[in-house]
Amino acid sequence: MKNMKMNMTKSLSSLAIAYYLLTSAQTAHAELSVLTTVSDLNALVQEIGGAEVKSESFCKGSQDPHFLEPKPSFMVKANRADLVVAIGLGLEVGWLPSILQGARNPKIQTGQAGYLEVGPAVSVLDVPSGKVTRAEGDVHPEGNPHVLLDPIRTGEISLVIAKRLGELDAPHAALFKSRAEALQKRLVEKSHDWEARIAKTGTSKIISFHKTLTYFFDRYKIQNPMILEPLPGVPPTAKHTLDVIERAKADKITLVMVENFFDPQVAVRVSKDVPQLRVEVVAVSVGGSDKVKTIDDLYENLVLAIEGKAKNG
Amino acid sequence: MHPLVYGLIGLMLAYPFAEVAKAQGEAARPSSAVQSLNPDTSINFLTLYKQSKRKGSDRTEPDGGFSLQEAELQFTANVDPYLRASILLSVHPAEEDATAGTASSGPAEPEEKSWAIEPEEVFLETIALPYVTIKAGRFHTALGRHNGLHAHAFPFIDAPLIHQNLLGEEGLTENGLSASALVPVPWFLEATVQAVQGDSPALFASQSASDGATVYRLRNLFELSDASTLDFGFSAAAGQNFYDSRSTVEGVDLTYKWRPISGGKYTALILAGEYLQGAIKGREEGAKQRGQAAWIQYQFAERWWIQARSEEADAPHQDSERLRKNSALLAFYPSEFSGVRLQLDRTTGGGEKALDTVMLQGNLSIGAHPAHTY
Repeated sequence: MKNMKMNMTKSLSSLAIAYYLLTSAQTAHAELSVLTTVSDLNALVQEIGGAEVKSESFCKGSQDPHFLEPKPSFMVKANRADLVVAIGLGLEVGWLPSILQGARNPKIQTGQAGYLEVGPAVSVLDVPSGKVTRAEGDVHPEGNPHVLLDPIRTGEISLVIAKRLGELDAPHAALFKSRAEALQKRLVEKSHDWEARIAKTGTSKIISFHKTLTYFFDRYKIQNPMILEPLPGVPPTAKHTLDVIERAKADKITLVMVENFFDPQVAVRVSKDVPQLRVEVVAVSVGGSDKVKTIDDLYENLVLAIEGKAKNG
Repeated sequence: MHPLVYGLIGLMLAYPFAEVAKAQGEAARPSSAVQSLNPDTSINFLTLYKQSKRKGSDRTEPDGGFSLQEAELQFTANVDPYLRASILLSVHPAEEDATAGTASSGPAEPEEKSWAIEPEEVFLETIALPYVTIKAGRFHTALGRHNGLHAHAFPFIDAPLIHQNLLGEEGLTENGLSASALVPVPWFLEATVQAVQGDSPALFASQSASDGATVYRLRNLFELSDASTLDFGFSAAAGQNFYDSRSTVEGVDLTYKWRPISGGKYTALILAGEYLQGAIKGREEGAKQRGQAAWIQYQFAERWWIQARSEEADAPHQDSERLRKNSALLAFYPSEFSGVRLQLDRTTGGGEKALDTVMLQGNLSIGAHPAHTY
């Protein structure tokens, strides 16, 4: 019985392989073809991969990565990819599985060399310690997935990406590694500067819309005492907004940062009741605004927003 | 209408103002490494209030009231590096109940409601083959776009008339083998061929077990821009039927979707239509049936949709006027995991007086995060 199944699987596989060889002959490329779930990962892959890698992101910087739609056109792209790089930690759980299944590409399935989740490679914050229930909102049992908003973790993730690219394209492994190390070194250096500039503003507490900026705040010792969403994924309610207003007044909070894919209306309303409160709509991923074109721009722009020097756009 | 229903509609409208509080207290978390080998488990259920009334009648139709429309238990897991298994069990009122009201003549003895648990889909599919997915088991066939959907993913509370009349209450669900290939062209082109047993009493049910049925589908999807797609498909099915003759079905479906790249959380639009025609040779009544449905869905706020549908289908009794139905729907989805929908229908034709229906449906999912389809 087992043999029969094996034989069938084998004959089906050989049919499929023959078909694959026939159809892929014209589309074969020398450079690695990479797809990333979010635009920040794409920025990293492009810098590390250089001319040796061709890369594209499913999610644009202006879209909420929790709720992307698994368009069949993404399956066509995934069908031809050598590697899919995802954050993991439940961020893409609503849409990536459908794309991977529809792609009909064995190389990029979970557990294969062509599939990489970078989130679990760094230390993760907000991992719930009790029983998780959705009465707490759209919680991520694996922890907060927005790891790339910390430049230090981004540096670590760059090395993880370079390692995997090197495994898939061994002749260029050293090149990928050196580019990732340079990227990491640059971010570490800039991070000292960003830290000093944030400290200079004296900002210690910031309100956000969602728990997107957790890693950024954690890195630069900023507290995030209030979130405009009463619970993750739940839009602001009247009573919760009043609580935010009271807390902002009591704690003398001066800044609300609204992630670019959310509607800033509620933040603006809160700021009307709290005189010292400033509202900044900030890009939280590469491409989230016209000015944020690189991974360095991403953090630079957040620091400028805290300094009050960013022009929304 | 039941006075409670007004209350329920009121509650639906008040729902968006609900306050939420952070959960208190935390229990110890069990180790998850072993659990992660368990299949992803989720349960979805649809709870329904329905009331219909014929024009000029002072009594409501016998089918309706509060009911459990369906509960679906879903289990999915990778079997090994080659295969994935999906099991979807459906619990719903047994078929006799649905027809008892209309078929009975005069007041018979009241009977207890009976329930059915059915393997709606039980199949394995390949995950390690390039370009093709082979599927074996019991599944919704690829005959058109709507037939592939589970009841909780229907754009409206009920299926289009032509689907109900031609394919049967449950749609065309069959046992068999399916091969679905991604054709290497610049756009998304999926070609599916399914060899199935042809058990469907509505269409096939040949008296010889060696006769099967075949379903074909071609699905195209063009990305018009980053914000919009155009999806169109052709489907066909053919097989031996109960009357020792052949049944054939052809269908066309078209879907346009728009969701802006910026602000896409708050607005979106879907325009869709589907046409089906079937010929059941040898059958005396309803041997030929044609029908179509077209609908629009507009998302006007983060958690709100309005929808409208217009449809037409041949009446089951061939000589009577065609059935026409118009529907309007309001949907509120407080989260990805729950939704409330209110639907109003007016059906005319079929040699009967106009039928007005109001339905209020609760749609809930618990367990593993649902994997969305497009």
